[in-house]
Amino acid sequence: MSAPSNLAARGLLNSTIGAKIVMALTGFVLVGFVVQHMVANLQLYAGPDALNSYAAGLKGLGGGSVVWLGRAFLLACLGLHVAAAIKLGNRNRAARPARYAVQRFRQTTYAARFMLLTGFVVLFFIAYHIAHFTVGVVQPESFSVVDAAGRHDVWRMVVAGFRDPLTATLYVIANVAVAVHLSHSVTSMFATLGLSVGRYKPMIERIGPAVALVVLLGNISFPLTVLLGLVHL
Amino acid sequence: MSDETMKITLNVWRQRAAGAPGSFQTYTLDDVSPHMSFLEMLDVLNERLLAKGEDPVAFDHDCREGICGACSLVIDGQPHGPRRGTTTCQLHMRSYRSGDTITIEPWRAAAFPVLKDLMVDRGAFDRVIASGGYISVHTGGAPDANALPIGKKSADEAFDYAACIGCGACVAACPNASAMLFVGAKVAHLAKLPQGTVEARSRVLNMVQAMDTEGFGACTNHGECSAVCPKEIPLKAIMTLNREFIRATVSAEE
Ligand code: HEM
Ligand code: SF4
Ligand code: FES
Repeated sequence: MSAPSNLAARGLLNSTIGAKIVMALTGFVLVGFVVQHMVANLQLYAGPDALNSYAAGLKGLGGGSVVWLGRAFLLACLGLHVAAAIKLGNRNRAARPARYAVQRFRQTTYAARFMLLTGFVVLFFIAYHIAHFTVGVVQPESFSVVDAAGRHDVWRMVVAGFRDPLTATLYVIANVAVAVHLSHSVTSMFATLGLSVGRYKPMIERIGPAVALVVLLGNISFPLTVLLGLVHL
Repeated sequence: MSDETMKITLNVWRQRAAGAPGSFQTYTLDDVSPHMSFLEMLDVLNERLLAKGEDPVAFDHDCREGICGACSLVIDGQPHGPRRGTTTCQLHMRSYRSGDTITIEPWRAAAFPVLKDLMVDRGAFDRVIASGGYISVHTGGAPDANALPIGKKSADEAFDYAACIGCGACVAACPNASAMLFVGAKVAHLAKLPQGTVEARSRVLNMVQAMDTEGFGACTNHGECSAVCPKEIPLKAIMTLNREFIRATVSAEE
């Protein structure tokens, strides 16, 4: 028996398991970012100075190059993740051309069944979120504010942004989609990497829902506390 | 258990030939014994159809004792019916009540085209096996028993994976029509044994390539496969498949 000679040429994305591994590894990076992003944003509660100096420090790292490298890396991961998701999604749909008249599931969850849908909601949200708080084209009036120390007033931008109920609601809904995506995906990621076995299995089965819940509570707390007037200008 | 006969209504997928359009036909049996197996109930239906000069319902079966993997019906949306760890042929009508309506469909997957009615072509599994689901050995005299010591745990695990009967229920149940539980069972079975480790690398690469070529979907960890598997092959088979695949892909040999 010899190994397929064209395997190297086929590339990782061209086999089902290879593409899944690409999804899992890029997903791992993205989850890491999402968790870090939520935790860093908790500085909203520490007041304008804490958040603004954190933001200014981040943008100043390595003379500004680190932020751009990070952005490029995350964007590449997101691109690969979405490319693999679409490729596998098409493949999976083609694998069952005729549907069942009756189908009764025993094990799967809604989160698992609607991964592509929640993924696309997340994708549109990422685009909107970048337009809103990174590029500043959604609410330009609150984007261009500067604090007393001459730094970009991120705190004021966020609080002013979430005072608009529509914007706040959008963030809450989008973050529910993120959480649903994470609740299946973080567990699934370990399974794809072949790690959901033995004594780790029970823990890995809970880690997806747990990460999803923590990220959800953290992220929706920002628009909600602003809307409720707990955090105000 | 009651011996009273039951009235059962069947919604059966009828399709004259591969590629022909199909539809559901309804049949009613008034005198189904609870002691009948599901396939015996279909035998009764077919005898009636033949007596009326109609085309009997085609379905696959062979051993009728849960070991060959031939029987393959999706019953009320579940491959092999409602009982866990049970093949269609081992399902009995005592699982139903008089007055029940039962919908019967074939395995539905691009890689398993319908041949007729409830019968599908599972040749794709044979081609996946032929691509690497074996070991190469010299023929000759039978080797001495226990000449090759194998740890108890490995032997048990290999035996559990070897229990796969190749029925394809995993593919039928998977929302993605993925064959990874089946391929995982074969890869894991041989990877656990010293005889299988020699060709482990090319086996997993070849079998995954064959699986992909046949048009099966990709696993998204729904877990439906293992939940319907009549041999209760654990999802761990897929973990082993993935790990073997990663190891083979990154290894520098060949
Ligand atoms: C912040 C953004 C995102 C994060 C943190 C994330 C995270 C993850 C992770 C960790 C996985 C598990 C990989 C695996 O099962 O091996 C995954 C799977 C998946 N993601 Fe994402 N993802 C994100 C965005 C997206 C987007 C934009 C799409 C849509 C196009 C998408 C679609 C999918 C799909 C279809 C799966 C496969 C589902 C499965 O295997 O069960 N994801 N994601
Ligand atoms: S893994 Fe289970 S369901 Fe799949 S072919 Fe083998 S015995 Fe059938
Ligand atoms: S007929 Fe052999 S397993 Fe059912």
